[in-house]
Amino acid sequence: MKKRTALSIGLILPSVIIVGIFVYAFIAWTFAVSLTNWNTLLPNWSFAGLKNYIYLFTQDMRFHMDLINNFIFLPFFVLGTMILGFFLATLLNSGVKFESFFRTVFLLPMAISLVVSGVIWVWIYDPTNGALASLFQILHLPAINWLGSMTYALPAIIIATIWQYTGFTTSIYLAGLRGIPQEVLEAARLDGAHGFRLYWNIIIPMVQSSTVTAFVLMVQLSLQMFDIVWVMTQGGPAFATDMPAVYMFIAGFKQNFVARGAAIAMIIFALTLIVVIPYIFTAGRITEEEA
Amino acid sequence: MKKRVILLVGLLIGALAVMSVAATFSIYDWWTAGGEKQAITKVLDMFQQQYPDIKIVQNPVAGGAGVNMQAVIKSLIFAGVPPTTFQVHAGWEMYQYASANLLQPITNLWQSEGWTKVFPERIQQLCSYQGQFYAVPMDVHRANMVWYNKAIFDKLGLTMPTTIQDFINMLPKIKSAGYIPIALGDSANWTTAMLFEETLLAVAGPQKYNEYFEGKITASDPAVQQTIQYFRTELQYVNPNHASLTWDQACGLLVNGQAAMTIMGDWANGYFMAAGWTPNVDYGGVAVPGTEGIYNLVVDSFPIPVGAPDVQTGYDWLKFIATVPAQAAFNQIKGSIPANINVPTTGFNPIQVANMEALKKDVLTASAVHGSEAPVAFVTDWENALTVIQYHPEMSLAACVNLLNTTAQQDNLAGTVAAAGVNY
Repeated sequence: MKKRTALSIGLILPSVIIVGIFVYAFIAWTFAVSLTNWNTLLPNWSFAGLKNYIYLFTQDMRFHMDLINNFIFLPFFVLGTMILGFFLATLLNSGVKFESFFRTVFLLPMAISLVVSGVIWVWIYDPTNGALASLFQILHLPAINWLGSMTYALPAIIIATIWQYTGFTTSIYLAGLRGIPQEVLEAARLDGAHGFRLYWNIIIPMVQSSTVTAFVLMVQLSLQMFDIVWVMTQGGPAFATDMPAVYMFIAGFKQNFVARGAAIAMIIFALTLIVVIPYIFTAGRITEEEA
Repeated sequence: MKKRVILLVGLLIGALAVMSVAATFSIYDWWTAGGEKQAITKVLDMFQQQYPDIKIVQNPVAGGAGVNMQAVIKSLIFAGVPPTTFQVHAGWEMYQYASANLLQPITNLWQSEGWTKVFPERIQQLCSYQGQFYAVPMDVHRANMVWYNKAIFDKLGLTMPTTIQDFINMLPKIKSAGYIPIALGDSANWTTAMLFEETLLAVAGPQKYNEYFEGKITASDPAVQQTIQYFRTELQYVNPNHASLTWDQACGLLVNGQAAMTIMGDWANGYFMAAGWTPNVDYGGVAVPGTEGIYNLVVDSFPIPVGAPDVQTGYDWLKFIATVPAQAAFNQIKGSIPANINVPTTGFNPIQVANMEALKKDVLTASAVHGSEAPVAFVTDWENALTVIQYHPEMSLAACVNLLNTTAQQDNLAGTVAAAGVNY
């Protein structure tokens, strides 16, 4: 027994140390930096209190726009990927022919780097030569300058990211649907549950843990959205698609506002915790119930 | 088992040995596009021939007009493993490192090599900080250039005006003939900022231009207000898909005959040549109307960071890139012009030759957009403010002025420039 304990500790210890240093120590470090006056190239450790946070929330127009954009982006992205993912998973699970082929098709976008898909979507959205422009022309719809418009740029990015991540939620839901025992479904059908009622009362509650997982992951992804925005618009036009993570990169690495960048990182972290902490507790509960 | 361990240890030692040799001369740059990539490769080859014992490790970092590379450089410097040398825009982009004592002063080298006699004075200022030299210029670009499609100009019977007002007046004529007057590709917003910058230079002249970026005058100044109005007019005459294009795709609109002009630095010259166009036959490139006699500089330079490995090789590199053969070879391929005024004009295209003559006699200013004229933090916010003005045509002139002034105040432009004590 003792030997086993020693062995388990020995096996776990390296990862605990690595996670401790590279995750938790760095979070603490970032928080410490965010409380300083390090808004120069060289480190300046003089204590600034909450000055950087106060500046961001009270004076920084760019940060205000970033938060607004992020909160518009978030519900569309999260609901979009989840509803579409559930729908596709249901179709795949219904015994469709060539299921594995379709599964691959839907999952493939996820395997593409965000940078690559960003470049592809820029081509699709090009208002003169893009695929979407040609489609609109055939349908006799007016041409839209997607990425160059204050109105359409953010929706255009939301669509591109939904496309990218729907495969991910599909796979989460597919696993959930596969986990429902056939007997339960048969029993429900015998009791007269069909169509919508079957989904609403039986299936959706039974894939609850998939829903929670997908929700948390998608919220966390949308709060940290950077790559695809950087590639497609760099936050433009005129901040219409700017996100906190984009500003964090520019502030920290281009403008040398290191402490301000750290403060933005901590705000993103705090927002993520709002969804992650309940998840840690509910995930524990769900596993216990299922066990 | 034992054999395998020995093999692994052997591999490890081998890898370490390779790494230690390879660290001899490491150079970082962001020259990754066509033309510029060939230019740096050519110069590194020449350097290698001259110093056959050196192991050169080139680390190109693409993207973001150098932003991505700067992120890497800053990380390396703070990790205590700076490269031997790296590309940096002379002026404020370099000052940020020099003011933090992260670069080695090379004033002795400048004096012993006699560089004060071969590089123009304004370029010397941009390569130095508070009385010490820190960098050596590799090339000179000119930001205030307008490029035009000669066939369209001939067809419409136009000649390039000499004042900015005439330039503005010409725009509706080109538009009504069915061409895009000004091709713009601002998927990255520095191109929009350049439109403003070169217009400001034309309206305000070099003196006031400098004062604006020193924070000595504000956007409330009549010249800046006039610039805002011209800028907004110009933006009404750009291609509708500007936000999806890059600067070179905008130049492509000239090549395929859709657009008449574009305002862009002389790196566009390299693009047009690569597209098979003949200078002064298919296209023309001259100073932006109203900026004749002014040369708005963009200077790429190389410093040696403090703690750089093999400093002596770094000095050899700096000495090498200042020479006539190196500057000639690099700039002929890249489309820029040599910073060294002793380079003969043979082998350069006529637009480059005209700029080489101009560099010797023009009033020299520096580009803010390209990191030379104003503090980097301010320029980033200033470019964003211009984008806000661009996308809000309903904003009143007073609101535009107010936005630009708030930006300058929040980033403490005047205070930062005064504290740095640099020359303009």
